[in-house]
Amino acid sequence: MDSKKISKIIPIITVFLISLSFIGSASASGLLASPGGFNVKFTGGPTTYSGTVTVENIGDNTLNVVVNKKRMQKDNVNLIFSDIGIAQWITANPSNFTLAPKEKKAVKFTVNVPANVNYFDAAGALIIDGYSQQSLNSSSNSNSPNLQIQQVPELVVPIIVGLPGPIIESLQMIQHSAPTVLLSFMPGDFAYQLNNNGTVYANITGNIEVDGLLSKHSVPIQGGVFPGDNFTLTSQWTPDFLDFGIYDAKTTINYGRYHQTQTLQTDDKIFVIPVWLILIIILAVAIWFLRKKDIQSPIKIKIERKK
Amino acid sequence: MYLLPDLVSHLNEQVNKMLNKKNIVGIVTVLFIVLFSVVPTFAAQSSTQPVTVTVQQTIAISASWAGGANNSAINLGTLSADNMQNTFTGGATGEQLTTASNDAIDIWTKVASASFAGADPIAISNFMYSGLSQSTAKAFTTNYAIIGNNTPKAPQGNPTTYPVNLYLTIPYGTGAGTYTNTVYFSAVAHNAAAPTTP
Repeated sequence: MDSKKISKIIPIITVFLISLSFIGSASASGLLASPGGFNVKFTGGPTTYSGTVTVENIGDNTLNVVVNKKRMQKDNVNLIFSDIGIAQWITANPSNFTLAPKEKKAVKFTVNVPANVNYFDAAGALIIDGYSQQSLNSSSNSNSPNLQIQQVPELVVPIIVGLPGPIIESLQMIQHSAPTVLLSFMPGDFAYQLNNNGTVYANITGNIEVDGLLSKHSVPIQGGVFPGDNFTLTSQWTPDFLDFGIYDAKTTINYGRYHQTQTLQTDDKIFVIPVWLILIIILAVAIWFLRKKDIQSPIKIKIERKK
Repeated sequence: MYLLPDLVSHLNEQVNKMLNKKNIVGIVTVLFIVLFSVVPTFAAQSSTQPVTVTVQQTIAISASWAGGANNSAINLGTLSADNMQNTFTGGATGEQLTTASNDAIDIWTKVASASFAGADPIAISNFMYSGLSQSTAKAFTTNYAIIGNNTPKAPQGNPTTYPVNLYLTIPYGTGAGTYTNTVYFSAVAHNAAAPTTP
């Protein structure tokens, strides 16, 4: 081969190789999002937060991009999405669009945080999927199975609603009620209306110590209240047959987010009238009345010894 | 050599000549150019402009098959229904994931359907993967499973590529034809926090 031919072929080969390398590296399906997450500060009351996430097609295939909004639960082994909680607070626009290679799109979203937040619902995410516009080849000329799988790059952009500032554990007892007089076997209701004026969920434990002359009872109480919420904690105590007299009902409510170290206390007096005492009184009154009036029994029972 | 009176008269003559030769327009133009060029030059020399840019956290993921052929859809080709596991080694000629994120990410994967759609649906338990932090072959499911735990950020200007091995078994008796499914590779920032006060 002479040098002229070689000099003609070399540029052609070079161009071919360059083209080949571009084909090999450029056809990935890919997405980029910035920023990679959002933290919404929540100070109580209805709050609206707006943000923008920029989505870019970093591959060489035109993609149909779908943006979904979900509640997210994530740890080291689980990534679970659902449609409750924050998923219903988020709106995203646009949620469906086409991105050519290297093209960007700004996706605006709004989070309408309600006044009372269940913090288990407060972690969400925008789920951004890029579907290739080219469908899979459904035809196969072979007599064997042919396997094709569409690849979808997906970006999860977390939107986290959280409280700023210090953690404040605080419960206020607005009012409470306790029974004053009870009969045996008659249930008495205790009610404590609580307001969480702190910044975190309050787990509540505690008991009502009902202390009488001859007996003592402990009634457990349990509950929880979210920040800003009012909650009525209720419990019940029923005196036994032998309970009677004045009882001291001392209620201790322990609360806290993780450790119930804060305390609220109330003290009430309950007078328990036993059924047997009522029966004795009724009987005594009846006997006293009969004797006073000298009322003879209409029935006479004569007991004789057997002969 | 000019004496002072001669020099003054000479300059007057030159100025008159210039004015007479209608060079006034040119002189004025030159004066304006000098004036406008002096002002910004002066400003540039007497002040500094700080340039600040904030770089946001960015997450990115790309998936390609066989160097990007077939629009990056994974084409495992035509296989025999012999109940033998076929291995598709990851890399430039197989499956690979690329991250251009500027922060550590977790990469999760799942499939859209519990079986490959086709004449005789193939259970997804026959389709497995390994790579990144998943050292042994693990079956795909319709639930997210982590494949890249705490995958480091990409070096500046150089996205990082990771091979992903795929394994597929075609059960005996699977009829000829095309079988399809969809696989998701999902990127989320590794430090994505839970609510601050749950």
